Amino acid sequence: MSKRKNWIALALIFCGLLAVLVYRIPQVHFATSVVDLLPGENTEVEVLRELADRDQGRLLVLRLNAGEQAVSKRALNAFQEALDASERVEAHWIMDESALKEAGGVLFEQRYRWLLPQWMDKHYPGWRSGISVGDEDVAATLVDELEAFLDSPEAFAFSDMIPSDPFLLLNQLIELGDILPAVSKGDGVFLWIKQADSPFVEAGQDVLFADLDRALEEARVEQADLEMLYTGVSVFAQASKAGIKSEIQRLNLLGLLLVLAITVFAVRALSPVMRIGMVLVLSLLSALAVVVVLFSTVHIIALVIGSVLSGIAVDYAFHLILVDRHGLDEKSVRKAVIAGSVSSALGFIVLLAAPLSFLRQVGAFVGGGLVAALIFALLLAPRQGGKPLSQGLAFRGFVGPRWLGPAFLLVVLPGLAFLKWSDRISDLEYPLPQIKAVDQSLRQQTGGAAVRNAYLVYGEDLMGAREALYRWSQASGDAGYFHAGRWMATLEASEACRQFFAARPGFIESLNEELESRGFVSDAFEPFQKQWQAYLEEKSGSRMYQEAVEQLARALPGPLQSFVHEGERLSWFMVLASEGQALEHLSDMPIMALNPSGLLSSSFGKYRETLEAFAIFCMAGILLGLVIAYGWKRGLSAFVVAAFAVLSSLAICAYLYEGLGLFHVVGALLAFCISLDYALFALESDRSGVAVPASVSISVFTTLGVFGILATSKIPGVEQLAVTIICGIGSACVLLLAGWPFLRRRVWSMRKTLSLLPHGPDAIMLSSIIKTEGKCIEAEYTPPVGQAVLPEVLVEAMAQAAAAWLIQTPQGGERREGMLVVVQSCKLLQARVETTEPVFLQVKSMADARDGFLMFRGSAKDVDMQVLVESVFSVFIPPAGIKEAKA
Amino acid sequence: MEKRLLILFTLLCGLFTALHSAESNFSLEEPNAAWNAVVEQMEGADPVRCRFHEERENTFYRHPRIFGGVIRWSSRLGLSIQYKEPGDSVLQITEAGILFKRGDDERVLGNSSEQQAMFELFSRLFAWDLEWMEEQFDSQGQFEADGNWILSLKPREGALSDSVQEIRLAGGAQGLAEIALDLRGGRKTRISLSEQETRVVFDDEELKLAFPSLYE
Repeated sequence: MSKRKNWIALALIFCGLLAVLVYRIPQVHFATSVVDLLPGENTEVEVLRELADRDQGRLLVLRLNAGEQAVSKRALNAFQEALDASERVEAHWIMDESALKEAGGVLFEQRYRWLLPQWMDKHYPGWRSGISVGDEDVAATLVDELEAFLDSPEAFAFSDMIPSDPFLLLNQLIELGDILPAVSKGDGVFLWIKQADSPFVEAGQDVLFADLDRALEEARVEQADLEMLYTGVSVFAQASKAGIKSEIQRLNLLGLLLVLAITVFAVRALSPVMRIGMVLVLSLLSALAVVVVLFSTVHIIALVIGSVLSGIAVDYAFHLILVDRHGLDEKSVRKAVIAGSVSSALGFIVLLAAPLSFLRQVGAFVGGGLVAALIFALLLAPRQGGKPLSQGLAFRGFVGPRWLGPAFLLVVLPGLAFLKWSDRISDLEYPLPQIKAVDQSLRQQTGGAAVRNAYLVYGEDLMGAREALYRWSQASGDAGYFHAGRWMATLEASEACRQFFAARPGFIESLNEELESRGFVSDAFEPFQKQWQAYLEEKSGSRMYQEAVEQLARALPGPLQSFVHEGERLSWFMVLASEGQALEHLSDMPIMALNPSGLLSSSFGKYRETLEAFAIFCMAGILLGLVIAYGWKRGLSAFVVAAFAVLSSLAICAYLYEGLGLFHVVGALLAFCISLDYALFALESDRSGVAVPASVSISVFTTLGVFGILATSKIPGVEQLAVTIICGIGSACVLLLAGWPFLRRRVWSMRKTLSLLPHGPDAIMLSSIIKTEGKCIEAEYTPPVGQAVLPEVLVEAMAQAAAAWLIQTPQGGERREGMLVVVQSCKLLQARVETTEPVFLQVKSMADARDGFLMFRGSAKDVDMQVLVESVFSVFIPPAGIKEAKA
Repeated sequence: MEKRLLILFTLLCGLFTALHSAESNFSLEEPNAAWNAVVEQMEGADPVRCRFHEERENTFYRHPRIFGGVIRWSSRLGLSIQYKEPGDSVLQITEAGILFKRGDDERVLGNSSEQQAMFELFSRLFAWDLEWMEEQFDSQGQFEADGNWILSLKPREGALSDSVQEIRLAGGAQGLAEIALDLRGGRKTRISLSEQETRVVFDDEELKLAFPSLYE
């Protein structure tokens, strides 16, 4: 394509990308909750989502205090009234037993239906199977218990309930009080606040917090020195979002500035910098377009991880846009870039087959972006022209001592023995020490530090969950556990109990007789007698039972709501085990351990393992591609360098970290792609006898710089990713510079060659030798400052280049040297040569190296590759016999 | 005439009672010299041991339930109520909570603020925490001719007022002699204290029995 067509194509692509993004982005849901990272749609994920979005995640713990003073009732009332007025607050409770008033009322109302069956189970275990139990027996047992209770010291505080509850059924609820937080007196008033919206949306964060501030202002009218502190998932979510946003902005800005600074410093021209920038922007836009077209829900973390794409894409731009500024010919450069990018892109595209949506999104983003980066870099690569990069930036590969590579690996690789995998959801947490301190302080003050293992017994609805809880308690024996099933008989048991007593109409009479005979005043039990009659006559059924359970679920305050939870798709009963006790009989029961951070961490573990499996599969594919493109020897060599760089990186990280996780694996994958890129260039350059292109050096600097900045991130995952990449790139550089024992060295040191020229150091005009390949040599001549260049000088520089070629093409193990005999022709193509910039020399022998006369054709070009001088000259190489005779 | 004399006698008796009351009545907010002397006598922080006899009356039961045993108090250890009648059990009340022990059965009581307030009440009374009493109750005291006194306490606001109507403390030269509580729902409790010993030293066996939380 012509240059103009290229630009038109680019403009059309850019417009197309914008159109796709404008159309698709509003339709795509960008998930931010960590819960959305959980793989699959299984029940555990449902439960966790329900907990985070609707249940515990919506609960705030709030403290009001007024220094040394108690919080006044009027101020508290004003605060609560303001909360009532807020649409963002669903409910609120003061954290004491008054919070249980509503739930206690429901339980009191339902005591015969829910608690009496347990009383019967305790005293007459076989009552349901039809054993004979008489009215008098039950009455006598009831009065026995009543007497025993009255003889207990604690009856002192409870006995006013006895006329309404002679069965002492509410005493079964004593343990309910145990799960209320033990709030320390004098610390102020503590409240639970249930927010109406998800903690991950704006309404559940800033809008809610503004309403709380307003409530405080209302309360301060009554008590001016009132202070408020609160904590909850929404507080962390909001602060974390703000922290991550500012951190990403800071890191991206610093990274971009650094890349620009290095590029401008190295290239010193605006046009290539702009082209490189365009490749970067277009490839990122393309990657985003691919993801939003393929997925209707995209997780923001996938984009954050995917942003490492820019680190690779910018390398392709460096290599292709700066192609004519280094020693490798364009074909070799293109081949290396295409081989590297296609193999890396395939490596990521294969992730589309991963079972986890999040990884598929990363694969689509990076894979698509890499292909796009290659295409855009090819389109934006200049057709011709451009000045050569300073060869000071280039380095030669495999020049170190042969022992350096093995020695490096010997020191580093034993670190792999310390490698442990440890997947932690906390790696994604933005550190919020102040908020965490407030959270810990409030939770300590409300006794939230007690650790009990929690389990959820679930079902499609509350009835199903209750049934499952019953089956579990029958199977497990139920000893030592705490759950709402203790206050709530099953529908079947409840019905059986009612029918049992309905079939005994003389029970009340027997009871009254028993009471009177033991000194009780039976008339005092009138409240009980009235309620008992209503209980026996009521119509019951599953609907009524479910309504009562729902009523209790709604009445439970704060975190106690988790004990009976009615969700849209899933309902559950929570079971608390005693400290150190684990739930048994987990198999075949709809039960799950409630450990959100553990579940999220194990999900991360699944991500890592899947990624590892795919990475190994991808690397095999990449190896195959390299062997096809470069042959088994060079392909395998490049692969081995990249593979050892990754292994070294993981080994160094194993020394540095206690456990490696998902972000180390992602970093290693990226380090492999970049190292492979460098290895291909190093091998190609070595084969051509030239220095590794300066674009690789720039790439190394920008990569190390950008990831060095990322390594300062406060988010552990980002820091781990960056450190892994830095270690990988650093290792690759060491291996590329080191003596690679299995590699045949083709490299002549430029300095060594120049020192062997017979002209003497003062007469040498060449400033650098760019490359020697076959019969060609390319070199650079930098004129002295302030002096015009004479054509003769350029011819002399060409002759020195020819002499350097002779040195680098020894014959019979001996170096050759010759003397300039005659200049056959010298064509001055520009009237006047005035330049202070380097002049590019190309000299080609017109015959193979041999003794005697050799003809050379040479040209000198300026920085814009305009030919200044062309020349043909001959050199005489004395035959070996003459040299000996001379000696 | 007889009628006039009777009226005059009644008026004189009333005047005498009124004059006498004006001298001996007091409250915690406005104590008199006699009460201050009692306070001085009671305020020692020395450990106390005494026997108690408790009668509990309920509207739904014809006879009072009788309890008896030993009360021990020390500012460091808190209050211990060792029941010997009708069965053996121990209630230990400290700032950390209320521990109930009967044989091997050991439980922490007082989850509700009402319960806690009730048990805390005894602890405060034995600690002779007048500041707390003044804060929580409206008080009315009276000295009798023999030097005995009665202090009536009516809870103001808070958890205690939900269950307690009135508390009457009675004492004399020997210190606090009786605690009577009128509870809501017509329940009454009267605790008589006897054989009071102060500056006692609890030996290991007694500590183990009366303050089980020390040995956990």
